[in-house]
Amino acid sequence: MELFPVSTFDTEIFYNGCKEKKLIFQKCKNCAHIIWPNSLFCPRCYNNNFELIELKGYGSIYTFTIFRVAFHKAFKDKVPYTVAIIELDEGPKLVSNIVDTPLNEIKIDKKVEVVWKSCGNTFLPKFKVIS
Amino acid sequence: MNLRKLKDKYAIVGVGYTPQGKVPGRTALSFYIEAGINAIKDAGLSKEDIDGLICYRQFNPLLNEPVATPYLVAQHLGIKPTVLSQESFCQRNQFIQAVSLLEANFCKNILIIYADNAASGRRMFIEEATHGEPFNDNAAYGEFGFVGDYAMAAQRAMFEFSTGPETWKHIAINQRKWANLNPIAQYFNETLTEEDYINAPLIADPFRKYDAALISDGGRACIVTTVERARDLKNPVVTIMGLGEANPSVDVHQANYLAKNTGAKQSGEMAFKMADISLDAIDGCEIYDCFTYTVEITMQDYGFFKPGEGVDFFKNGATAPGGVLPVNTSGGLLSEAYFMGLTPVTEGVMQLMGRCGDRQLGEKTSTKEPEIILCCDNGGVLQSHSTIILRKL
Ligand SMILES: [Zn+2]
Repeated sequence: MELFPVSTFDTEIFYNGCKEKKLIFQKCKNCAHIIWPNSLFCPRCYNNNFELIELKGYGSIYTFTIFRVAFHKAFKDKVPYTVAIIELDEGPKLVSNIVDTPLNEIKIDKKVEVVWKSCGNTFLPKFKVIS
Repeated sequence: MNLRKLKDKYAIVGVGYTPQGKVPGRTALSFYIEAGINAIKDAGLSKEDIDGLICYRQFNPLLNEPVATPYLVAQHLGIKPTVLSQESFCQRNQFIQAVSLLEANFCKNILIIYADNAASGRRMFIEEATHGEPFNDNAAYGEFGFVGDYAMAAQRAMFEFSTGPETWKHIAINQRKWANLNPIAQYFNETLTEEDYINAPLIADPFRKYDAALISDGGRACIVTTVERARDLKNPVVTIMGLGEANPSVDVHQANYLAKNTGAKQSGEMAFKMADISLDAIDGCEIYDCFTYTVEITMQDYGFFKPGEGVDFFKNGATAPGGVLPVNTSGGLLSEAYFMGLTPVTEGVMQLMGRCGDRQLGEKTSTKEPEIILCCDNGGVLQSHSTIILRKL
């Protein structure tokens, strides 16, 4: 079994991008802040005019953990696996997994790039360490 | 904000305990009622005196039982409080709320309770949002909440300053030594050595088994009123000397406060300013300890030591029985039992009232006779913090 994210009124901007393997974010037309998580208003200036921009998919590991225990049956066969907070080069921080990388190469500040992995009928951005 | 006029004006006059640890077959509600009644009796009050009831958050019921709403708790306690309240998502403002209600004269005696049957009901740590099944998008990545989130905060701390298992083992072991003096602690009969700590399985790196809080059945309660009224009641007067609160709020995954300037910093400054004391006036600490790292970052942000110097602060049993600064003298959430912020606060009250038996601060444990104890509570994933400085008058 697999757990899926649920696209909502707020988050469909991001998840519609995922369907096309694109990291789409809202950028505030007033203060240029890249808004994350998605919202109807910019939390910095309360403006509600945005442009949609595509981020390049590069960033670094801000922090991570390796789950040794499955806290849900969907992950019973997946331990050990890595959950990380990825700080994208453009600023937003995403929760994701580090994939296609040996566990001993996973360290804070390592550069990563996006790897799209299928999840149900869509894709999720995961990340691998690059040298 | 000048809070000094509130200093030593309000008091905690009674505490309520229940059987705790693994107590099979009981509803969460039954623990609420027992803890509440015991606190009322302990204070020497009657139920008619209680005009405020503040419940901690209630997780979703585990067994075949109703949700322990504050309505049900009030009904079963036979009270009709003027103010009835329950927090939803770990915002830890119970004591600020109580003092505010007393100061404004809306209430005279406020009962604060938390209870659960988490051990018997096998509650998982991941159940942070009152859902049995994860509903947060992060679950798609296998990120389920408290354990992973605090682990990522701790991992970031290891990157920003010198810390890690070599620091945290002292926290776990020192607290266990207190629990070994506390007959009601879940780990009363189990010692913890450095080998036990290091050899325990990793749960979510960098945390091992003994870095994490217990899961408990039981309840805990206390009553807040004015010092004026407290003087006429039976227990020694324990005042609220300082109060602080901060709610950084930002989701831990987007936060910049994982390893410095957590809510503890702002909340601590506020409480110490109100109490008009400095850190060296503190005789003991009861620090919210959902994880060992939480104790370190909280005390670091309070200013007890510089970033990375935690290992020197906690080593050689410095916070254990006989140590220079006792910390979490009941065993805490790690080794006594999990009742959210009421584990630390009620222990602080019990110590100042001199009711702690073999773990009593003072001569019995080769520590200083306590006059001032620093307590704190923390909610969400470092998203909410409150500081309560208690003093024996
Ligand atoms: Zn803006």
